[in-house]
Formats: sequence, C-alpha cells, structure tokens
Amino acid sequence: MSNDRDHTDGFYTLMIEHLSEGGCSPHSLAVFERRLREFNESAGDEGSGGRKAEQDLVLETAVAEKLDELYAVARACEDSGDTEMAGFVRESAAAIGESRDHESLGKATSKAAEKIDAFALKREELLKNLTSAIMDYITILCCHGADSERRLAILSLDEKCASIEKQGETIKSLLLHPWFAAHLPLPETELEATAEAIEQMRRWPAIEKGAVSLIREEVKAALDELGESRRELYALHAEDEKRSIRTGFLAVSPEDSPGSYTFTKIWEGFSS
Amino acid sequence: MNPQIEQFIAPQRAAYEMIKNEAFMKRTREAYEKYFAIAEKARSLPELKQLAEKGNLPLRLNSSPVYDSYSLLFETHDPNLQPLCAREESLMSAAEEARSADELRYLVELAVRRSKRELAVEEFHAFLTVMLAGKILSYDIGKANARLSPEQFLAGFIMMREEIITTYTIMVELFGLDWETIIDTPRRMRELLLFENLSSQTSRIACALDPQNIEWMREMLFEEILTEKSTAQLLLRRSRLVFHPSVPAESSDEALRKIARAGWEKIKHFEWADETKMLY
Repeated sequence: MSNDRDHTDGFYTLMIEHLSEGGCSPHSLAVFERRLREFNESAGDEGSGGRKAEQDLVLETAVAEKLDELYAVARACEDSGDTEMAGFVRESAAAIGESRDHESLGKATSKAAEKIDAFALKREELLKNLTSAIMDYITILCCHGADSERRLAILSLDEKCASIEKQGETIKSLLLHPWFAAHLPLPETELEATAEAIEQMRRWPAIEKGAVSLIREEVKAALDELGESRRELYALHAEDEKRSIRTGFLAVSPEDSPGSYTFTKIWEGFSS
Repeated sequence: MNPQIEQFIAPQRAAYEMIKNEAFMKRTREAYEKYFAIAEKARSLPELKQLAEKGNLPLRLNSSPVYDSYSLLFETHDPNLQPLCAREESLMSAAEEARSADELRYLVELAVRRSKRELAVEEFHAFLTVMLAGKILSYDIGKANARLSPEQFLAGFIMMREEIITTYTIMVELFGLDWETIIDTPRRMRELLLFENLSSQTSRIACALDPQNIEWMREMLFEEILTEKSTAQLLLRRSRLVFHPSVPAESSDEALRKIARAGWEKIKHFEWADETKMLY
C-alpha cells in the first residue's frame, strides 16, 4: 500500500507539473494542488470519511475539468480578438462552478454547451448571409445597368438583407462589428460606406434607363462602323470555330509544395 | 493483468479497436499500444496512472487523433490550396505542441479561428476569379453570336465587355487582384480553368479546361477588352488564340472516365488513396 501512496503522490505531482506547463487549466491545477496537500497531510489515515471525501474529489475534479474546457475556449476567443464570444463563454460557464452534484453538473454543462452552440450558430448564419450579401453587392457593381442579371442580383441582395434583419441585425450593424468585419476582405475605412451603398442598392431599379439608351447608341455606332463587313464577320466566325478544339485535360497538383500543375490532354474533338 | 486496471482501460481498448486498422492513425495507434504496454506492467491503478502521466500518455491519447486526422487531410489537399493546408498544419502543430488537454483545446480553437479569416478572404478571391473567368467566356460567346447576327447580339456583347472592364477594375482597386497576381497564384488556375475534382477524397487531381485558355484569356483581356478598340474593331480582329471548350455533353461520361482513370494512376501511390472514392 505504501507503494500505492508513492504512486499517487507521484501522479499528483506530475499532474500539477503538466497542468502548470499547459497554462490553460487553472481550475484543475488548483484541485490537484489541494489534493496533493491533503493527501500528504492525511499520511495514510483515510478514516471513516474516506469514501465521502473520495466522492467529493471526483465531483470537484469533474467540475474543474468542465470549467477548464470553457476557460480554454474563452481564452482562444480572446486571443483571436473575439472578446464578445470570450465574454459569452465565460458567462455561460458560471453556473457550472456552482454544481453541487454530478446531476447538476451534467445539466449545467449541457445548458452552457447549448447556449454557446446557439450563439455560435446564429453568428455563423449571419456571417453566411453577410458574405452572400457582399458577393451580391459586388455582382451588382460589376453588372451593366442594362443587364437582366442585375434584377436577380438585386433580389438576392434584398433577400439576404431581409434574413439578417429577421435575426435582429442590419448589414450596417454587422459590417461595423469587429468579428464580422474580420471575415470580410473590405478595408476598415470602406465598411460604413459599403453598408450605406448596399442599403441604397436594395432599392435600385432592375434596369437603369440611361444604360439602355446608351447601349442602343453604342449598338447603332457599331453597326454603322461594321457597314458591309458581314461576310468578313462570318468568315472570322467560321475560322475561329475551326481552330477551336474541344479538349479534356487531367490536372495534377504538385506532389508536396505549391507550384505549377501538370496538365495532360486525355480527350480531344472539334467543337460541334 | 490487475482486474481493476483491466476495467479502467476498457474504454481505451474499445477506442483502439475502432482505429487500429486505419492506416493514417499511426501516432494514435502507437500511443494506445504504449499505454496498453504500461498497463500490462503496472501492478496497481495508482502505478498505471503515474507511469502513464510520466510518459504523457493521457495527453498523447488526446492529441494524436487530432494530429493524425489533420495530417491525413493535409496530405489529401492539393498543396496549392495554401490557406487550407496552412490550417491543417497549424492544427497539427497544435497537437504536437500542447502540454495538456486544455492547452490542446485552446491551441486548436485558436488555429481554427485564425484560419477561418484566411479562408474567408480566400473565398472572396476565388469568387472574383470565377466571376472574371465566367465573364470572359461569356464575352467569347457574345462575340461569336454578334459576328453571326450583329443586330440581335451586339448589345449583349457590348455589355459584357463593359462588365469585364468594371469587374477587373474592382478586382484591382478593391482587392489588389490584378492579372499578374492571379496567374502567379497557382491555385487560381482552379477557377480560371474550371477544375472539377475527380475524387471525393482529394483535390490533387481534377478535370480541367485546356491550359492554353489562360493565354487566350490574357489576350482577350489586354488586347481586346481593356483596349481603346471599338466594338467593330473587336469583331473584325483576328485573334492569335481561340478558346478551347471542354468535352461536349454527348462525350462527357466517356471522357471523364478516361480522365479519372489517368488521374487514379497519379494518386494511387498515396497510402490513403481509395479507388472507390473516384467520382467517375
């Protein structure tokens, strides 16, 4: 038995050493330090209260483990610049520390996990809609005022904005939120202006009147310039068709570091 | 073996059974085997706990599956997908550097959070490149149509040219993505040449458009679209290169199977390669 005492002492000492090195387990570390101290003080006399004390220790260790799990997550959030999530995780963890038995610990842990998951899920959905909205915004910016695709992109943008508003946020509130802004490749100085531009864009007409008349003028000018060159255009078209070969290539990535792809033609045929 | 120890390590035995035949779980398998060897030697539970902790085995049982899983993912990625590869590498480092289970959780969470931003920016760059490539292809179709029937198709051709000018300007001015930057980034070929993965397991092999199309795109962009040439001059211009489209629909099954077969030959030497995961 005295051998087992030595092993237990050695185990606690190693746990303290490893948890200290990791620096992410303050609760477990405190439990093991106290355990070691009390273990050494008991000097082999476990007495009649031994079983109860052991049960308390198991609960205490379990509580500490759960608290440290969330402590690690909160610290990672903090260190990645996400103070909002860090605060939320810490707040959700508070009830775990008050657990008086395994049942209440189980309940508190599940509740905290559910709260954190729901918070993260809501954010992910908002980020997904925001990212799509920014992509729609860019699509619209790149669309010609007379392009029918513009109508679809405006509708899509409006849908994304409405989804965001349904969740109690706006494009502007998200763009000005540091976590959301960090996931977009927009310069900080452009965020507010982008939010305003998106709001205006939602009310843009499907087709811009001026753009249509401008295109008509350009078509007329091009037709005038083309004049009698129809036959030449046909010939150029036929020539390009002849030169255009349908192919199927295999692309193989480099073996172990970035570099050029290797392309091999596997299939070839002419355009139909 | 001491029955108390036998009972104590039962969950680890069950976990080991689940991974022991997985080729890529090398570190995890080693960690379990070392743990079981210690369990054989230990005469009591306290001795096992002390010996296991001395060898950092409880931590290794936690961190090795993380390392092995991300190491496998890393290997299956096309090495040009640098933001993705960097994420897997940072997670592998987290598994190697962690000194406690909680530190492992912290390092993994931190790595995932940091890489998420890189991946988000990457998603935008891919989106913009796909958009540019798609518009250049539409420009080519528009040009062919306008040559055949100018009255009917000139408007579309002119609009597409103007859209490409706007798109390229936005790419350069807002995102710093000019043509040189795009073609100097090998993974951008995936969007420009419409890569389609041939296996659900890896991005290392793909079906692609003719790589000569890159030079054709450059010619269209810098010798036609972005120039001062009039619409009529563009239509009457004899280009040096033409676009080479992909396999026509009626031959695509047969062609894809041939391409996939050739692709399989290129990856079959990898330990993880599984022929049943080929998509064609």
